[in-house]
Amino acid sequence: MKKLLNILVVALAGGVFFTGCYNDFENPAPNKIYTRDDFGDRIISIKDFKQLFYDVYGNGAGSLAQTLVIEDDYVICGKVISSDKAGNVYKSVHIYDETSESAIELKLMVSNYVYYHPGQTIFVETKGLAIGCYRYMLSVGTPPSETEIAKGYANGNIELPLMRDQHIKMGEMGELTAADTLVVTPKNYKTTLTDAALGRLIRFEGLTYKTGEYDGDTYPSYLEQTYPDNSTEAVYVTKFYKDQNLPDTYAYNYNNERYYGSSLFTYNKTTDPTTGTSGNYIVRVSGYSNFALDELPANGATGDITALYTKYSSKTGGYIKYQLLLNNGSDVKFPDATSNTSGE
Amino acid sequence: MKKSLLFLLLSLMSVAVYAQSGGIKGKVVSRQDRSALGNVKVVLTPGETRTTTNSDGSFTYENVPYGEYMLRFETPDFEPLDIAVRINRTGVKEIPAVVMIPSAIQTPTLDDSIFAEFDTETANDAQALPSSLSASRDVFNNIASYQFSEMRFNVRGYDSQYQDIYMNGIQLNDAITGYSPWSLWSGLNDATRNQEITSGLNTSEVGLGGIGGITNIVTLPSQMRKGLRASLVNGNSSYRFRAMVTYASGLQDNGWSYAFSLSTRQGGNSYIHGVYYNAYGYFAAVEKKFNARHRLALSILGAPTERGVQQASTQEVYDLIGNNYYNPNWGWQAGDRRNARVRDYHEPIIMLNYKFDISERTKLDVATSIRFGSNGYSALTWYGGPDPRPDYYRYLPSYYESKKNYTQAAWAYEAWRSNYNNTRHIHWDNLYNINYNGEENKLYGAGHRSLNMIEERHTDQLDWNFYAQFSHLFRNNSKLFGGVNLRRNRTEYYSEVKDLLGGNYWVDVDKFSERDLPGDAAAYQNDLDYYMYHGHARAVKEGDKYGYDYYANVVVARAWLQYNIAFGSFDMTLGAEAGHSSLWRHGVWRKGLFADNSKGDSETQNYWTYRLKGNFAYKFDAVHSVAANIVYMQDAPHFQSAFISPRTRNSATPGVAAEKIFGVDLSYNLRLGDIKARISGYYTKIKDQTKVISYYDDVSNTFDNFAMSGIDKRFFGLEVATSIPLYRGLSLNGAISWGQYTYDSNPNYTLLRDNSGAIESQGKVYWKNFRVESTPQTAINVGLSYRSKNNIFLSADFNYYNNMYLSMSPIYRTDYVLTSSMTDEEIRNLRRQEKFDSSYTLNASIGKNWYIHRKYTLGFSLQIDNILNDQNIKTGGYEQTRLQELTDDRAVKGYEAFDSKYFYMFGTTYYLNLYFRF
Repeated sequence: MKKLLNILVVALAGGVFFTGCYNDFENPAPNKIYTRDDFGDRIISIKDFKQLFYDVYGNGAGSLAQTLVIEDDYVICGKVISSDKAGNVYKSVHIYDETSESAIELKLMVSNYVYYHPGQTIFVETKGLAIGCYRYMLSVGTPPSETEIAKGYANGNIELPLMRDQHIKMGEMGELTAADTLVVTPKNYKTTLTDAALGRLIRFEGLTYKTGEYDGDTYPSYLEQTYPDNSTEAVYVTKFYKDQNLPDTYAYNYNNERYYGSSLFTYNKTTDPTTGTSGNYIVRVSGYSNFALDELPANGATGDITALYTKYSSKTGGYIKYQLLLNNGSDVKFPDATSNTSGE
Repeated sequence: MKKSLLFLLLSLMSVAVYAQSGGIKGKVVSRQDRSALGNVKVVLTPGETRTTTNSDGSFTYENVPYGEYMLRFETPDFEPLDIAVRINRTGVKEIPAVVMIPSAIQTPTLDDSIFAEFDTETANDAQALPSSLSASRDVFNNIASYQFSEMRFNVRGYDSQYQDIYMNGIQLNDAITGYSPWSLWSGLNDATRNQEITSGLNTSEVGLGGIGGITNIVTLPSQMRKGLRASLVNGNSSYRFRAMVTYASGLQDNGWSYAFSLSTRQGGNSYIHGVYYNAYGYFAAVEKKFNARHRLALSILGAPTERGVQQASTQEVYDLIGNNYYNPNWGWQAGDRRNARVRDYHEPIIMLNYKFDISERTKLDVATSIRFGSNGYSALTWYGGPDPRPDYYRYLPSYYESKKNYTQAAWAYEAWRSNYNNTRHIHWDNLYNINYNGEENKLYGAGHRSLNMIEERHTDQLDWNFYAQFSHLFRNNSKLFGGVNLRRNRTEYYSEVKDLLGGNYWVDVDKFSERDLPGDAAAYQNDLDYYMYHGHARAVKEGDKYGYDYYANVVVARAWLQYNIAFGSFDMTLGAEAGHSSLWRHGVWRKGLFADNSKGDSETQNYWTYRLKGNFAYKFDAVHSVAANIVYMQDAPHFQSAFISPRTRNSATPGVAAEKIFGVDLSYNLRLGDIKARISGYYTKIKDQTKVISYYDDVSNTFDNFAMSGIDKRFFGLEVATSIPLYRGLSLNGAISWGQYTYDSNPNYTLLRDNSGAIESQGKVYWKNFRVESTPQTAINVGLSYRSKNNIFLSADFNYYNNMYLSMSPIYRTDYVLTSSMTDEEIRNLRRQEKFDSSYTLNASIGKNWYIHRKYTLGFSLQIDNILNDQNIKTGGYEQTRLQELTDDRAVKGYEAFDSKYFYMFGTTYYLNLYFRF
């Protein structure tokens, strides 16, 4: 009898012992921080990396929708200059290589900001990946799938976390410095800003916000996307805020419907910007961005914008427009601009 | 009219009084050592007249009219015993020794841990709950409990909330959900062994009951068998081992009696990684018999339990892994397995019972109880970043295959097959590293903002009950029972920060609303008042409440009366109950989205409830008898379904209404010597159920509430069971449950956006005549059992199951998800309900006990289930509520169901129990 009680006491005590085991977990160690030494001479500059593509396809309309699969063991590295935290940058990270003053987009999945912080250095092992050209913009992604080719994409997003982690290694944290941003002013934009700067973070100083027509389109506007009568095919209609009695905002986000918005900023302060691409920039903003409903500046107001510099065209390469991709609403600094997204 | 009715009633009552009568006397002893057995429940039928044996084992019935009767003897640890008795002119019938046989096997598979697996919060996400889990003297119910429960069998197809669970007269079904409350005392099998069970539509002394029977657990120490019992269990189906020790003093000379029990269950099982038990149970009760008429008892029990949980996954994942027991809830952290989903609860019950025998024939029972404590269920939550669940659909090969992205499909396939880089599990280190580098913002204090954490969702109950019951036995042996039940429940719902996973704080905002209404910081506050005062959201630390905080309030009052009378071979019980339920929500925080409709009290929902019941039995002779029962009742909806989105606001569910139930059954019983058989037919109709489902809509990218009202169900079927002694201790048992359980209406639905309360869509859910889920609608058992004279027990059972169906997502059965290009066949495919394959199992058990010095009992039992080791038997599953876009290209919209998730029965399992009693 006593023995049995002893067994029970031991069993119960064993239970108490187990209690400790279930919940004690040590914090995992921080991830390895990669440096250039980890990759040695496999590293090439982003400029040289892009050149691999241009060497094959050039940089004209003929390069659109072309793919270059990287078969050599090249590694590119750069500082992160984009953030998708605000919801405007979508499924991509832009990195900038200060040595060659060149930048490129990495096509990934959503919520990259939790891994890749602005200013942080990252390394991309590109073997097996593909450089693709979409409307003049180069990016690094996976070789395109059948579906992606059908949609006109030249490469695909690295969606699978495992695949992403195989190709992208994280380097040290850092800050974005003044040297990482190209500064463009009304005086130097014609000379300083070339297509070599595509993908870079650029501070446009002294830009003027304009409403009205440019190159056949009217700004600001948003692109409504509807599915009438439960159809699966979307119907797109360009709409104007004023016609809907809405304030002019960067994009549309009402009643769980979100549409891209476009607005015009220009250096052509005095002349009517109806033709030509030089000095005219479309700020295209996603309805999912957290500053979609920020009001646009007053017509004619002048201020600064820091944004990723991108190029867009028709499928065949015509109707070229330069678009600015904002990381944050706060990167638009206009004296009378309102921002509702200052805090939580 | 009234006068004539009264006259009729009095005339009927007097019939029995004038009949000639005799009596029965006897003594109950144990076969083990011939010792007298006190506290044995004795029931004389027809008439259901009850008594209990004295401490010397004796019992007496007086004034029993001439006729044939059945005497039933029941007491814990002994096999129930039926004896036929004829009362005639010989006067008092004497039975010198009623010999009861100690129970054979200590209910090995009837472990209540099966209930703990039921997650009331996300009912779909857990295994369904079998509705029957009690040893009963009814052959069918025994087989349903011991054998069919492996398939989560629901007797007659009803959910567990239709089974009324009482403890010492107080109904303890969860006040918020109605679910049976077994987990509150799980592990305390010995302390809760003493159960009074009525099945189906029958009434009980403690109340009228509904359609699923009543179980009243008696924990009064004077009713527990005196002695010490201890047991050790080793198994591999739910935990590794259990230790339990229980002692009951029996009624002592000074009028005191007491009992206590302690238990622990530890470890996991052989099939699913990451699950474990770290559970304890305690029970103590003391009772004082002041004199022959007054008794007072106090019971305290609780089961502090921590349990790692499994979740179902899709067949694609099971196939990639190579077995059906994958658990997505865990990952490696610094060399240890860590489960993200842990249930952690401790909800003690304190109960006071007072028994007053006013006279020989009139009794009064009064009881009150309180349940309190905490009940948490942890989960991973993330503000930003990718979905951390390893089996998220975008991490699986099928997702890439559907997009013809064969490269990444191949990567995913290989990674899952080989578990490369622990693809199959949660990447804790990844979550920590995200948090280590989380943003710093002085507004919220020092350190980094966590973007991933483990939260613990709480449903902390404060449940008070009062119960008063009286009974009176008239001179004609007819009986009147009546009672009053009062309940006040206040349950606090909130979430708590359990582990910040390497970060320093969590910013308490509603991430969905923040995305939907980014420009309106006030709108996405979970606690708007805090924000208004401080100018920013609260930065919460471990142990802080976050997200939501509200009280569910329920007040229930019921009064009931039942009258039982026998006229010769005919026995009848009529009962009625009337009651009222009030439900309201009280918001502790003001939600930014619903500033005017979230803090403070909601409007109170009031419901009148009632029940009418009739039980009728007729005994042709000692061999044949029939019984018929009928019930009509109206019940209040449960809080869980009465409010559309209680985490955010005070609004009631559109169309919420009282639920109505009509039920009838008819049984034929055969008792020929030791051959027993029963055949029953039943028909039940449930009307006007309400249900709310909240889910993330991947097409609209927003959180939705889907409210259904007017859900009707119909249940009908047959139950057949028999027990036939074959030869010298060998007997044959068998049961058939054949039913058809269907949805009997196309309910109305309202689809609302959770962030605005705006109605997105309304219409019908087209599922009339589809099957009710979660239970095999056909179940068959054939079993052999053998008991030798030297206390060896053997049994083998073969079970067959069919007509089991997948739990449906109602959204797939609405017009809302249709697109104009869908063909009729595509629509049919979307709406089709999956039927599981039929299956069969073979189970066996063996046991032996030894009597030592005619005083001690030492024994063991070994139960082996699923001997055929079939690992492809689905025991449940559900369609995921969320729908995905046909492609991820925003230019094409359409809905496609996510893959369904399944639970599987384990392969061969064992359960070895060693026990000792004296």
